Amino acid sequence: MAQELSRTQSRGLTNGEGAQPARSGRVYRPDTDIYEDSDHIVLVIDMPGVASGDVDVTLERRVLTIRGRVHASRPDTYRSIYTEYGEGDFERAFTLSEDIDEGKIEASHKDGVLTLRLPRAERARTRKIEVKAA
Amino acid sequence: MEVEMQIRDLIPWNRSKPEIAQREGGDSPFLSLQRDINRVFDDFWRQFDQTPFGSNGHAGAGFARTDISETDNEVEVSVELPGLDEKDIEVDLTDDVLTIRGQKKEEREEKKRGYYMSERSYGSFHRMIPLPPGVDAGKAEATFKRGVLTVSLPKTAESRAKVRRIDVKTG
Repeated sequence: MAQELSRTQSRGLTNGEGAQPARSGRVYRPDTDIYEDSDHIVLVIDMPGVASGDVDVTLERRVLTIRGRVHASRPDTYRSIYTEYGEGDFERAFTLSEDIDEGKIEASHKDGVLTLRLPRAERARTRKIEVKAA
Repeated sequence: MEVEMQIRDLIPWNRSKPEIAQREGGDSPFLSLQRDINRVFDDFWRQFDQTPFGSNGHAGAGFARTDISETDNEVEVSVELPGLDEKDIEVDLTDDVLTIRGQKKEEREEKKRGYYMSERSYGSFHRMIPLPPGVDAGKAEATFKRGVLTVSLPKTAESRAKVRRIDVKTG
């Protein structure tokens, strides 16, 4: 189905290695739900603080990469006094085990949540095979 | 500076920062079970309202992760609430406590054939954030944008007047 390809570190730990550095150098692995229905694989990805225009989704040889860029919401004059998340970019990649009809991927983004609906390619869809009595 | 000290004093688990920031887990069914259990306990504790910083007790496990920053003129509280609508968020303010509660109405579509990964948080949350003295509750403003709630709390003129920068002289 969809398997995690590379692991971006979870929130608040070390700086990203190999990943594109954000302004602050932090790249987080966004919380994700993945489920499937009869003809789609659906990914729901939390990217709070990311504007729709700053979401980048690529699919290349079954590797689906999602990036979200966060712009600093407050000027440097603000001093941080308590941090649970700390602003940073998001990045995550998955390897898809099935063929996807790339031309028909639907993406929507609302309230900091990206939803991707990946339609299975026709030949990859489940087919019912009739068992005949011999 | 004075304000900063006071907020820190009120946040007991500030020292275990790496744990708070943890965003791991959810890949394995055991972890997600653990999270469900945690949530049950969160609900349990909510009745008593004992945790000083809201009932998101297993900090970082749920949503509503919070950052607080300040300038000389205001304190700004930012809360990550992806997937919520501003109508689902309630912000209450008394002189010394900011209460943020809400519910993610988005339904998990259990009827779908299968979840392969489930890391996002669902349900309700409730956080109480103690405020330092000197915040003007009457002038607070809240905005919700791109899944992030920002509450700006201007400091009172009185508390601003107390901020004094001290020159460091060479000896």
